[in-house]
Amino acid sequence: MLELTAVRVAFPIAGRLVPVVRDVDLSVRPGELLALVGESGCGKSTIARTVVRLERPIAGTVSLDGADVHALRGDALRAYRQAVQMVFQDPFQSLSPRQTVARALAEPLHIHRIGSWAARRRRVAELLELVELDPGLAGRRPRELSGGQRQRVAIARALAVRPRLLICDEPVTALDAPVQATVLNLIRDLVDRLGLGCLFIAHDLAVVRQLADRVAVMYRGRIVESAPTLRLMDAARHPYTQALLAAVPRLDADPSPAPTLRGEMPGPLASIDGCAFNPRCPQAFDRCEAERPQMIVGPCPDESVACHRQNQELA
Amino acid sequence: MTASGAGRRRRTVICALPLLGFVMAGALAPVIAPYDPIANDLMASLARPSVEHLLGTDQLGRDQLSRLLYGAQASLILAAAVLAVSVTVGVVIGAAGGFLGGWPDRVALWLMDVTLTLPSLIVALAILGVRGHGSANLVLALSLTGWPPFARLARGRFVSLRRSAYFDALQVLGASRFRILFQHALPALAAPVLVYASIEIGFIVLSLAFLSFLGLGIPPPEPEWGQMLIDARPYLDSALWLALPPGLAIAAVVLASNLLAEQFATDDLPLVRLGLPRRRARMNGSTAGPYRVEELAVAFAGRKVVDGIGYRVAPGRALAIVGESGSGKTLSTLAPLGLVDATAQVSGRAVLGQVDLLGGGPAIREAVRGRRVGVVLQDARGALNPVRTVGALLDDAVRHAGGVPRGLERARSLELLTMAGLPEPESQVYAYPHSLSGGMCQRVMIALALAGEPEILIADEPTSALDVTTQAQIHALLADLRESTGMGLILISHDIAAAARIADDIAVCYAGRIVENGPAADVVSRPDHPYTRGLLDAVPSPMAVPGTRFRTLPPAEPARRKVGACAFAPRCARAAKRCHVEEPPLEPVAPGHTSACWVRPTVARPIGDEGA
Repeated sequence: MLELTAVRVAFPIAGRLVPVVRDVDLSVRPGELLALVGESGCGKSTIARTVVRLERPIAGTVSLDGADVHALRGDALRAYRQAVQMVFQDPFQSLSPRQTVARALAEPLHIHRIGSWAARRRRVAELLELVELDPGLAGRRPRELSGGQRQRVAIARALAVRPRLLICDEPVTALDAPVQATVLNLIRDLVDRLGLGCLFIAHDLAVVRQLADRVAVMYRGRIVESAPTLRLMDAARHPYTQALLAAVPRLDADPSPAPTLRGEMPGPLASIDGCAFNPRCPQAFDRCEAERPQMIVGPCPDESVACHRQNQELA
Repeated sequence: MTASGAGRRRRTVICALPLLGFVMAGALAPVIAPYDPIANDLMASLARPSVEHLLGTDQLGRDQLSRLLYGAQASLILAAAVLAVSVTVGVVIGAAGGFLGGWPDRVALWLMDVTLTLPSLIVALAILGVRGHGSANLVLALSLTGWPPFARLARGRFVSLRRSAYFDALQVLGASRFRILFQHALPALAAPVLVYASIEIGFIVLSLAFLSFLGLGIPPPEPEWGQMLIDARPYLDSALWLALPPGLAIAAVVLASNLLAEQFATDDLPLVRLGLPRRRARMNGSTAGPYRVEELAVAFAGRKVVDGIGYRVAPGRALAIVGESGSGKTLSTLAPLGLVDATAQVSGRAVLGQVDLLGGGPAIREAVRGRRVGVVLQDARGALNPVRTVGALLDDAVRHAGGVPRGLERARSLELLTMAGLPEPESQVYAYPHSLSGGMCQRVMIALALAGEPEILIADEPTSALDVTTQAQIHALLADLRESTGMGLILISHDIAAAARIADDIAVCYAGRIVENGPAADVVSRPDHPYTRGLLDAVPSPMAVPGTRFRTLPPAEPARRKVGACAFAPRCARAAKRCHVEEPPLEPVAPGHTSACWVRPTVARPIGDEGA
């Protein structure tokens, strides 16, 4: 349903346009939860924002069911706003401090002029039930809610207009560990029950393992590896994916700190020839500095990786 | 220093009283004034204050009290008109600039800047000089230079709204600009505009009196305070009662509105006091021993948030205090250092070496902060002064810690940055915090905390705001530092998996108490308390089968905590009757491992053998 083709997004930094998303291809199918994983600054949130039209690509297209999202106008745009909804990272900032839960949930219905007054009230009650919130919370304001409750309200608000595609931008990063699990379960349930497509942005592969159907790993504006979750987790091929997996704290492993990735991702202004990961890569060789690796599909049709070492082995 | 909240509120009310009196006097003048303010009574000319005329009469025999009250009315009406025009013009210009951005914003800013450079009274004089007297001209004259503060206020709010996640959320929901503007942006502006308007009243009243005094204000015989002062001038020697009331009234209104402004300004100051203390007081008795906290209680307004927490950290050991937000884990480590709001009541013991940090005044706690105890906070970027370079920040900390000769601070700073693993410290000392990544800011924060060669390093969620790969780096750094310096480390975290990675011991905190405490490996592999087990179950397992559900704890009960019961009982799957009536004490379950739970299965199951 959602299709990104060679999408490039750039921001003006220090007087020139600097690409932060570089030629990204991505697709989300109905009923599928695709996780997009990477460090902060890699461009994953920009992709989410581009899909919901908060940013515009300078090249490439985002399309929903074949229609170019950024060319939509009038009624078609209105319909798109209903079809695609987003849950933001920090529910405290994405909800109005002055609105009660009931008003926040009714707001999208007002905006899209859906239903009568009574129908809206029923829908609000329905939504509270859908996200497993106590109906007694309807009169509360965000500051009277816990972090987990706030994020449930934000999810309910996104679902109010019955979208087909849900974009989640690190929805549990701002929450405590035990609360994270409950919100993640809720998101997965909703995706399954309502048959939604879901693009889930995360920086933590541990979260994604039980949640996602497919994972795409992003580094410095590009997708470097994409595979069904289990394949990616158990047989990661890109050295960056392997490093992300090694960084996850494990209870069963040796308690001493795991060997970690050296250094940090270079900023968008730095110019790097060849593979963007080569300065930090333990497996880099001379070709990695000279030439940028292309995404090569295989061995299964659902898997692809952009790494010279892997591509060598495949060939 | 921060005053208590009650004192601040009292002062705000006191400042607001004269303004309230002014508004009441103006509004009720026709009802409460004993005489007609412009009715002459030459028989009673220049009468002294008496029962008949409480404030006396002027040269035309007009009652001064009535004139004062009606004068308030005139000022009030004009002030309201000036404010109405200023607020409307200001909010429209500021909101247009802030909301639209781009060239409208530049035009709005230019207009504000130009207007703010104009001296308002001179502009008013010029306008009244050209257009003549009259209330309409007065309003025009004062509004012309009165709108920029409101424009700035509106612009500021709208710009921050335009950059907020909330604005993004509304756009994604499909809200029109019109709706965002009238349903969300403007209502949010009402409170600050009202506050600022109450402050402006003083200036408007003063300006009116000034213009009337120059004969450009409200024309006589209508009563007006400035006009009353001119009328009183010839009689300053013989009839002082004429000049005093209007003079005092003007002074009171102006003073009150200025004090109110001051009050609002200081109210907004953040209450966090993490700054380095100025006083230097070296303390003896720093023989390395464990840092012991015992029976620590912290209460706000009588409500206990930390209730009898105890823990100990030996040199070179790492203790992790784990719990959800609001469990008291942060307070239990920062309270002994005096890093809590002044309204908190803190009791208990916190023994470092031979000193009880809670056994005396704030000087004891100030003396150890930044020296014997270092603190690393979650939001490193927010905790670093944005206008100082990394080098300047570290030099300050080194100087504060003492022991380094003057002029050699920079060398020590470089050494500390190297220890904290900041790449290229020689060039980074010239960088400002905003140009560093989150991980680098955290390294600078750690370097700052190391300046005093602390015996104890407290790290409060040092990695929660960081990427997983950076988290792993910071964890490794903390573990290395602990080994190389021999300091004790206290890690505060909501993530038990991260805690297990670096800590020797784990203390699990729930509702202001420690419910389980023991060696990290023990706690993680053989948890006794059901809450600890719940925390562990909630950790996403690297072995989990994709598509299975995350294991969760039952949600927290919003209900108030029952006294004399286990706080976890309402969420606990194995709670028995006893749990609801009696609070379990910490009891040993294995060597060095304690837990506070009444219901203990006879055979402890190893974790992970429950079905998913």
